[in-house]
This record gives sequence, structure tokens and C-alpha cells, in this order.
Amino acid sequence: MDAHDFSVELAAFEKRKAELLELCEGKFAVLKGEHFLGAFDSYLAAYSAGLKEWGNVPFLIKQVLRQERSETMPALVLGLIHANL
Amino acid sequence: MPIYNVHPTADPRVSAPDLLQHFGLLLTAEVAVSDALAEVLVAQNQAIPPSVPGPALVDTGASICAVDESAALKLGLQPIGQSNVSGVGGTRVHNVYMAKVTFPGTPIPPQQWTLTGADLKDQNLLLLIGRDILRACVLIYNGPGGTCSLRLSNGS
Repeated sequence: MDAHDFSVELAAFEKRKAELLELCEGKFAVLKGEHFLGAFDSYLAAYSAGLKEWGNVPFLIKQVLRQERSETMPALVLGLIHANL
Repeated sequence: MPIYNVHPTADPRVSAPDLLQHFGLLLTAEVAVSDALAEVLVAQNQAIPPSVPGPALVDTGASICAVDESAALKLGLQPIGQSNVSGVGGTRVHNVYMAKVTFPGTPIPPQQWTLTGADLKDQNLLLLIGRDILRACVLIYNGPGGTCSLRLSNGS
């Protein structure tokens, strides 16, 4: 399945990133469209705030970090969870 | 922190060390809407979708947790973020969801986790439990004994 298109939210985040890094590095920013809801201490708090504001619709929670993180799931990516030799 | 001792018993003709080697650390799990979403649905007089059961594999090679995306869709979960997952073909963007994960029949308390959507159906899995969760756990893998012990703290 294709990932949801958060390009508007990501662009809005990038616009504010320097300010957010200054004010609340490590916190979790919540955005929908260009609307910035705020920055929260935990992912769960950010999620609850977004749900309360907009309901059960897509919105973006993004941790305020200097460097983007890349995740790894090698067994999934390589399809090697159950391999026979 | 409650301790859960895992003793694989799928087939009595196969030894526990062999089972553990073949299947890995598999837990029976259920994925449901988060407590926060359940509250919203109740407030809106909407039905709460039934939880989705399935196997969860502890994967120390994964930096994050994943859920089979068809289960997320069944639950009506909406994407609330993105994960960039690196692989041999480059980096791929995946949806991220918030969900409640429970482990019926174990002392592990319900968890509210962020889960990356992925296609796990072909691997007969509902969940991959990665190191973002394991960082709050004590995991003892006893290969010769064919058992595992998992201590998982409460919360997300």
C-alpha cells in the first residue's frame, strides 16, 4: 500500500523546523495541512491532541530532530522471516 | 514489571530448542484501536471495531515495530506519521499508526504503540516487535532450553 501523502504537512514542518529546534527539540509536532497544532512531550500526547482537534483522520506527528532517522527492518525488507536452507 | 515466560509447544514431537529456532520468539497478540480513539468513537456513537488477533514476532533486527497494514485498515486506523525504512533497494516511506496491543493470556499489560504499516500477511504475521519496544524490556533467550523470558514495562 502506498504511504499517505503528507507533502503539505512536511513542507509546513520544514518551514518551521529551525524555530522548533530552537524551542522544543525532541518534542512531537502535530500538523494537518499547514495548520500547526503544537509540540508535545510524547507521541501519545501528540496523538491525543490531534484526535481531539480533528478526529480520526490522517494528520502528521513528527518528532523535532536535527537529523532525520532512517529505520531498519531487514527481515521484513528481505522477506527472510522464515527461510529454509 | 510482569515477567512472561515463553515455552514453545506447537508440536510435541519437536523439541523446544528446535521450535524456538524455527519460529523465533512468537507471541499471540491482538491489535485494537487505541484507548484515545475508542473514547472518540464512543463519544460519536460509533462502533468500536473488533480487535484483530495474530502472531507477533520479536525481531531484534528491526529498529521499529510493524503491523500488517490490512489489520490497520480493518480497524479504521488513520496514518499519523511516516517511517523511512531503509532496504537493499533504497529507502521506502511507510505509514505509521497508533494502536493498542494486547497479549491475551499473559501478564503483559496492554500497550499503546506506534506501528509502521507493512505487508506481513505473506509471512503469516500480525506484528513485528522491534527495538523501539525492546529498549524498555528485559529479554532472555535460552536457546538450549528452548525458552524465552520477557519483561515489558507498562505504557508506550
